[in-house]
This record gives sequence, C-alpha cells and structure tokens, in this order.
Amino acid sequence: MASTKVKTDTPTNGVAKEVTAFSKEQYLKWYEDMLLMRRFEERAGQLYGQQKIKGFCHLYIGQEAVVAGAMSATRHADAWITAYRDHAHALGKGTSARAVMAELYAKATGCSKGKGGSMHMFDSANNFYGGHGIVGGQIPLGAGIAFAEKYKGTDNVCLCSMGDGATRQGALHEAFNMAMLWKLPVIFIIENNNYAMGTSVSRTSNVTDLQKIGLSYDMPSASVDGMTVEAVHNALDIAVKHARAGNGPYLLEMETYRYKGHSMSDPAKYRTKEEVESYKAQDPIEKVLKTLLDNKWASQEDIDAINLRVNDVVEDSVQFAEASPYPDASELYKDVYMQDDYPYIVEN
Amino acid sequence: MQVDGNNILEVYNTVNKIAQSLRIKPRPVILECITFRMRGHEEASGTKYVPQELLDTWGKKDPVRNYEHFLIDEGIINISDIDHIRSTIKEEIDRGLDITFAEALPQSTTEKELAGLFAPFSNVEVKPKGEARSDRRFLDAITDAMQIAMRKHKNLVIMGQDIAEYGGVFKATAGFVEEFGHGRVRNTPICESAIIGAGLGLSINGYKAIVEMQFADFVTCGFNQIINNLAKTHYRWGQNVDVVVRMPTGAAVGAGPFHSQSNEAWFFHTPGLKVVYPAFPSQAKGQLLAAIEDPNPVMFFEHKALYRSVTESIYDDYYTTEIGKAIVRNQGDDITIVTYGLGVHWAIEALKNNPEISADLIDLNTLLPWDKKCVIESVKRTGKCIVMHEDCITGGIGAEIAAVVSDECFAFLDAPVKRIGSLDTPVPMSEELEWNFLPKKRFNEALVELWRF
Repeated sequence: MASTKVKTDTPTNGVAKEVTAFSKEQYLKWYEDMLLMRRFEERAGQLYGQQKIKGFCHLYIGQEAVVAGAMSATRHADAWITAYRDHAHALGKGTSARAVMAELYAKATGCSKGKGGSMHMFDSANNFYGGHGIVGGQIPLGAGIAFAEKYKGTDNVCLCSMGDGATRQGALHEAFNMAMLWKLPVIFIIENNNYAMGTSVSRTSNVTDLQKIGLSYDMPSASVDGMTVEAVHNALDIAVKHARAGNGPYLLEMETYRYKGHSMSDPAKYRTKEEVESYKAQDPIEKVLKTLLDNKWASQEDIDAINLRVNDVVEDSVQFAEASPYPDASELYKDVYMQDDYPYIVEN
Repeated sequence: MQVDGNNILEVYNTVNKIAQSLRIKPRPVILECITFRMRGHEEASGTKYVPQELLDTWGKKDPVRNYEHFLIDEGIINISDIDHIRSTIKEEIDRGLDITFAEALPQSTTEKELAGLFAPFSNVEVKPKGEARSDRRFLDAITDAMQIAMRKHKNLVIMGQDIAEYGGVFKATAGFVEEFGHGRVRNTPICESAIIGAGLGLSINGYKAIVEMQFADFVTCGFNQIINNLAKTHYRWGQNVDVVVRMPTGAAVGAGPFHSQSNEAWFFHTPGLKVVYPAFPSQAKGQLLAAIEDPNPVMFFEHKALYRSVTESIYDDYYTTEIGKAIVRNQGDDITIVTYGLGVHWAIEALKNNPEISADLIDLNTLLPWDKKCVIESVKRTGKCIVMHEDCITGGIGAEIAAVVSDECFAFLDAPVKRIGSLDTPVPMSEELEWNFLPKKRFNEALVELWRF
C-alpha cells in the first residue's frame, strides 16, 4: 500500500491515537473500496427483500472502515478469516463482486460454488478463509493458519476477525492462551458493533472494555476507533509489525457499529433511533469523502465518476449472478472428501 | 487472592473471611492456594519429571508436620498426643482396608443396571382440565407449553441467547420477560457449554432449567456438558437432571451447512438422554410439558420449517403426552412407514398423492426411547417397512429401527426393510441442491417401489 510514513503511538493497553498522514491515492482507494462494500450490500439487502437471495443475510453497512483500514495495512499474502458477516471481507481481500453476489444467489459461479451462501464465503486464492457460521468457531482456525506461517518461516500474518458476541466463547480463551504461548503471528480483531444480535455488550459481561480480555493473557491489546479508516490502518500497522517480527499475537478491539439489524429479519428494536443516528453521523465513508474534498484531492466530478464505477460493478455482479446457472445435482457429493469416488461408488 | 496453601490456618482464615463477605455480597472470587503435590499426577505416573530440589523444598513445607509443630509450640498438644492421633488414624485406615478387601465385587443384573439410568418418572398422560381449544402454530404450541410451565413451576428458569426482550431468534419466548422477569428469562452470552452446565448446576440445587440452543447446530459447543454431565449424572449418583435442551433443527429453509443440520442421532447413541422430536403442535405442547416435568435430561427437537407452517387445534390448558409413545397418523394394511419430524409431513403428502397405497404411518414422536412395540406390531401386520428421516442416511436412527425390525419381524417381512435419509454430505445452501440432498423425492419413489414389491 502506498501510505506515507506514519507516526505511531503504541496503542498497547490503551486507545490508539488517530494520525493522518496518508496519500491522496490512499484516500481515493479507501473511498472506492468502502463505497463498493456499501453499495454492494445495499443492493444485497434489496435483493434479499425480493427473495432473490435466500437463507440468511447479515449486512456490514457501517463497519466498512475496519475492512478497508485493515486491508491497506496488510499484504495480499496475509490471511484473513472471519465470522458470518463476511461479504465485505471477501471483497476486501480481492474476491470479485461477481463471485460474492453469485454466492449470495446460491449460483454455481459463486465463490463457494453456491453451496455456502451469505455466511460461508471462501476464497483461498485470495487468502480469504471464510465465512464461518458458528459464533467463535473460526478463532482457533485463525491461530492455526498463523501457526502454519510460523512453521513455513514466512513473515505473513493472519487476521482473525470476530464479533463482540464471540468473545464469550470458550474457544476464544483457549486460542488466545495458545497463540500467546507459542507466539503465533495472528492479529485478533474484535469488530465490536455493540450488539450480539440483540444483546448489548454490557448484558453479556462485566468486562465491557473488550481489549482487556487480551490482557488476561498478557497479549498486547488496544481499542481502536473503528469508524475511522486511518485509525484502523494505524492500529493494524503497529499490530502487524509486532506479529511479523515474531513477537506473537495482538488484540485489536474495533469500536464500530452496524446501521442495519443483526440480519435481514431483525427489526432492531433493542436500540434507539438516536443511537443509530449518532453513529451514522460518524460515517467512515463520509469522513473519507470530506478529506478528499477538503484537500481538493478530488472534485465532485471525480467522486461522481467513482460512484458510477462502483454502481456499474455492483450491477454487473447482479446481472452475472442472475445469468449464472444453479449448481448441477452432480455437485452434491463433490468436495465432501478430497477424493473423487465418494460416496465410494464402484462403477463396473 | 493468593494464600499459602500448605498453611492450614492461612487457608482457614482467608476462606472464612471470603465466605462471610460473600454471604453479605454474593459474587465470585478467585482464591489461588500455592501448594505442591508430592506424588505423581496419579499413582501410575511417577514423579520423574519433577526436579529433586523441588520435592526437597516442598517437603520442608509439609502442611501436616508444620501444623504439628505449631500445635506443639503453642502448647496445645504434646508429642505423645500426636503419636496417639497418628496411630488412631492408621488403625482406622487399616480397618477400612480390611473391610474393603473382604467385600465381594459388585454383583448386578442387566435389569438392575438399566433401571439406574433414569430418575423415576410417572410417564402418564395428564389430560387437559378444560375442553377449550385454539388453532395454534407449532411455534405457538412451544410458547404455550413454556408459558404454562413457567406459571406452574416457580423454580423453572429459561436460559438462551436473546430470549428476553428480543424473544429468541424464532420468537418462542416473546413476551416472557414482561411476565416472568429477567431473573427467570435469562439472556446469556454466547456460551452454550456454560449455560448447559449451569442448567445442571441449577437442577442439582433444586431448580428446573430450559436451555435454548439458538440453532441445534450450535449444540456442538456444549457437547461435553450433555454427553459427560447431563447424560451420566443420574447413573453416577442418583441425582435428577431437570434440564430440557431445546433444539431448533433441520433443513429446507436455505440456511446452509451450519444452520440446517439434523443431529438427533448424536444423542440417540448416548444412554441417559431422552430425545423427543414432535411433528405436530399438539404433541409439541404435550411433549414439551412432559419433558419439563421429567426429572431426566431431554433433548427436545423442533423443526424450524414446521414453526410457522403447521397449524392445529390444540387444548388451551395444561396437558402432557407420553414420552416414548409413537402416534399412528394413518392406518393401512400394505406397508408401514416409520418417520418423525418433517418426515411425517412428507409421508402424509406422499400418501395423499398415492391414494392406492394403504399404509400405517407411524410418527415416532420420541426417538429415545422409541416405540418398538408400535413399530413391530404394525410391521407384523403389513409385512413391509420403510423408515425415512431427514438426517443423513449413514448411522442415522433409521439404521437402528431397520435392524430391530429385521430382527423381530423377519418371518413376517415380504420385502427387505427400506431405509431413506438425506445424502451423506453437509447441507448445501442452494435450493435445488438442498432438495436433492433431502430425502423427500427419493422417499416417494422408494415408497411406490416397495409397495409394488
């Protein structure tokens, strides 16, 4: 990433400080990347309403700065694994909008061949390891992927995302302990959007300052303004350097917010309109747009052109998904095992 | 807090202080007692991995010897008192050993062993007091049952994720928190293992618990508590396990591989559990109320696709149905269909589409224990049997039923017992693949084929 040199304030045991020293190109990229996530998901929400997309659909709208900032602070070779609110992560790692939309449509051209759907995006070619439907289930996997990088002797890291609800799972504590013990290059990212479905953080634990969970294992931990892409980037930059250097894991709590309900079927009655509006006022995309315009790094025409381009990508993905075939019945037994003769049929 | 665990007085004083404080202000406290075991982890493992210096250091801190010194120094007892206590204790142990070695090894019978598995339970149906009935969906029947049970049993607690204000992900507990309060309608963190185990803890201490798995798939995170604790507690020390684990289960809703599984077979294979799986609202209510009465652990399966799609006129009042009793949904002479859950509805549809087939349709209703008598009697009469379930075919419950039918009804059978289930793959998300995975179509074909056999 073409970011200029940034001043780093070690965020260990505290709040990472915001530092702005990024290039125009970086801001333009952030803007376009986040806009794509937003427009893509707005369209997915509509299509879900029209029953073009079935099953479940958990939208990421409002949290885009976390993916955008983390991507700009890492390499393509770094792995990312996350939970079920995963459309933006796939797009961020480089999975095409077409492949993500087709997966939402359960089409054969989807990134999981139409067998996974919204919660189970997967794209190993882009080092994106899903897309996991069981809360907290991916956390030890993230540690394992990082373990493999350590064995291989690379300096790649694994970003392992989870929601605030997942921090109450036993698997997290087991994985945190092991990752610290073996100094695995994994960055645990809690995307704290305040609600585990409808349950607020304070209703699930006395420890509402989630970065403190890392401190129980002496894991360097920090709280980050997850609504601000620069802050996310800076925090990741510090954490990734720490992990690449062989110093072990890092925990980052991203304080963020989802504007929509937990899933498309959630009316979100558990929070006030004012609360939602207060976060929308800090919208990460609007902030980046303001920086671009204030610095005269982009004209309104430039912005319009980006919007048009993003809309085209989204519409193209919808058309692609619409035109794609559903998976053939012959796909049913495929990939259950890494062998072709399953279900062990002996052909004469 | 940290104390010298080898100093009995320090431990006593600290625990005493903490206990008094907790009685006034209940809260958890961690007390770390620094101590050392002078033997191996257990008697076969030895202490080779322990450095001798450590053993020497801790040997000097021996809690018994140090306490003896303290008592002597304080003038509370003298050396001859100590010798006396030591020899008395030795004699007591030796006497115990003599008694133990003289005892014969336990003798038992199969009947006696099986009888110890479950806490006694009067499994008799309780009829409703009033005749009033209402049309209720499957989900409403579940809600009704829990609401009535919460009113009846003041010691009943429901735990689950987002079950309070949110009303649960399927809205089964909508309105409960207003009536019963947060104390008994308890929102929990996402921690299946902890809430199932806590359910058992409540039961041990005189309460009843319903634990809601948001989706049956998530029970994997609480597996240890169910298999090793819930299922074996009564067998081990005669303790009742008054816990119902609610399991919203099943596919046919396009929910993909982690929100669609049928996993009843995992529990079917675990002695000590009861596994209930109703197909209609009337049984959903009666079985759930019976399960809550039952002092044994019950895995209660509710098919998500049935929640809002099946409506039945059911009694408004409290009533229970018998756990372990199948229901014959259709009577006929040509063939016996054995199924449960969503399968019952598929079978009803298949019989409607094939009016020429005269079949006994058995809705198992309870899977553990399953109604062998009902199935065997029917097959002896019809001479043909097809077992169908939504769960994957290999190792499914159908295999057990087919084996028992083959064994018990061999001389009565006119055709091999047919077994139909889902494909042995995870549940695919794409609609067409999902329907191909599910056994509905294959069942229809196999039914006609077996009928023609």
